[in-house]
Amino acid sequence: MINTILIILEQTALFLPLVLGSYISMSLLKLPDLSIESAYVFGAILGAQTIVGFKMAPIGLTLILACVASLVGGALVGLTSSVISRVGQIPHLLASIITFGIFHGINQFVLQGSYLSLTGLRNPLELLPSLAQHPELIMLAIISLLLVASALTFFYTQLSYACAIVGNNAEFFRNYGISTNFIVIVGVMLGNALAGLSGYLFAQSNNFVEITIGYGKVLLCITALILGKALIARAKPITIAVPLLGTSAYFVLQQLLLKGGFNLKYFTAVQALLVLIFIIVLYRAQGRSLRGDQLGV
Amino acid sequence: MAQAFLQLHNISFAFDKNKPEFFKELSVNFTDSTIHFIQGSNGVGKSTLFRILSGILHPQETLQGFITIGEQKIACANSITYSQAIRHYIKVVQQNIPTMLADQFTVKQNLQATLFEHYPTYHGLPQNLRYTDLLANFGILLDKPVAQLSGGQKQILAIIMVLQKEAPILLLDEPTSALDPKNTALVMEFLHALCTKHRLTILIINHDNEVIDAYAKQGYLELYVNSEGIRDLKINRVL
Repeated sequence: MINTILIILEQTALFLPLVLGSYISMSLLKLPDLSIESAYVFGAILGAQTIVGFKMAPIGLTLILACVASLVGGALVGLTSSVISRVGQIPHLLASIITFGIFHGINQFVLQGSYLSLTGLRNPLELLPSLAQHPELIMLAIISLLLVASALTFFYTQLSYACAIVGNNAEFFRNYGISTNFIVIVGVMLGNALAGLSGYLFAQSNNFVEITIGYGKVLLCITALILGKALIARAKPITIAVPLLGTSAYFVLQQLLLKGGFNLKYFTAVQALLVLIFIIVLYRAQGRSLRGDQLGV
Repeated sequence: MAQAFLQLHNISFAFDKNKPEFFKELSVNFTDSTIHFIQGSNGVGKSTLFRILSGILHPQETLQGFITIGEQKIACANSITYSQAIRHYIKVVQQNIPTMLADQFTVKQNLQATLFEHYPTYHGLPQNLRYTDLLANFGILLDKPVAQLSGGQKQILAIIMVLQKEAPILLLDEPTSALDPKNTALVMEFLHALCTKHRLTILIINHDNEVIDAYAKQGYLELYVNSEGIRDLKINRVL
């Protein structure tokens, strides 16, 4: 039982940055931000390459550099998709698909192939002493706490409110001389930067990075965010509770299914059905409308 | 006695320098702390006048003459400096109120959002809100979600939102066109309070005769085409 709880905590810590990032771009800005998958992969690759490139540096410094590299990598993906969308004035979904294409090539180039192993290199997530079966838990907990504290601070700033207001009414700021382009570009960059960090944490924890690790991550984000919103019937327009509870609930559900003998290779189908059920049944019961909301999160 | 505060001096306007002038040497005075109605039939140029006073000019359009606001003289010839200057003094409420509000947020959050920096960053939400004293008088509580306001209350909120960046003149495009008589009365009462308590000069572009009959007791300006085919403004009295 305790081991299951620790696994849930570990998994939540690995994917919290991703879901938090998608909360900014999908829930606040209300964009169909598929570029989050590209950001996840590019962040993972830059983080992993940093670990390889700085293997002789002090391990604490390596961790900081890898985290920064993954954040910057994710932000670059966000910058690309949002600039294509805003400056090119094309729908964000199409901009995300174009970005996916661009970064698929860039990822192959930076990775020099499609796979990079981190086996045999020092794992900076094991920097602090921890439980034998969960050697990364303390470091992941520290990163998560820093992340939650940063998010709580961010959610009281003008930028976070601006993102949520643009999501509510994309025309709003045009009436008051405030730059909607800036809000969308910086918001998407922040969301994608967090996805990049999550990609690196996953790669580091699994000791490899592969070009396909981003597949299905949008569905993971949507499922977690919908679970979060289902758990909090009257969520405030901006709250950390939705991504935090949603991510935890996602992995609680996964572990429950696993314990019940469910084969996790079918879990993607379960996610998709969950999203469908929540939107059709629960959202309607709560009186929520999906009018103008492309992802329901 | 009220003084002329906003004055249009010999305003000439053309949609293109190669086309004939749409407005030719138009001059008019607007007294301060007053509600001015501007009326006119379809196609006479109400929307064009609204755009000129809003500082919204297209690159190919030409504008001549000058405007004085109090002691400030604003030349019209340079469209960029004209637009910047006019937007500093005249705040505009468009017809489409839903685009001006974020209905999932509270009244206070909507007001705060209008005061964000041009590039919003890590600063906290602004607290120095204006005209909040008027809100409570019209049943608009700061913590109320905008979605729960009536049509008239939303109109009032939109007006207060554009006035968060202080300006002496308010320009409205048919502010009561989508409202029932009860909400129209509420908005007009609010505009009257703005004039008397806060000494704002208010210009309302309007084509609803019922509103003119009911609220333009001091008369209204009619935009019309005279016998020489030139657009002009004349003062009409409500009988």
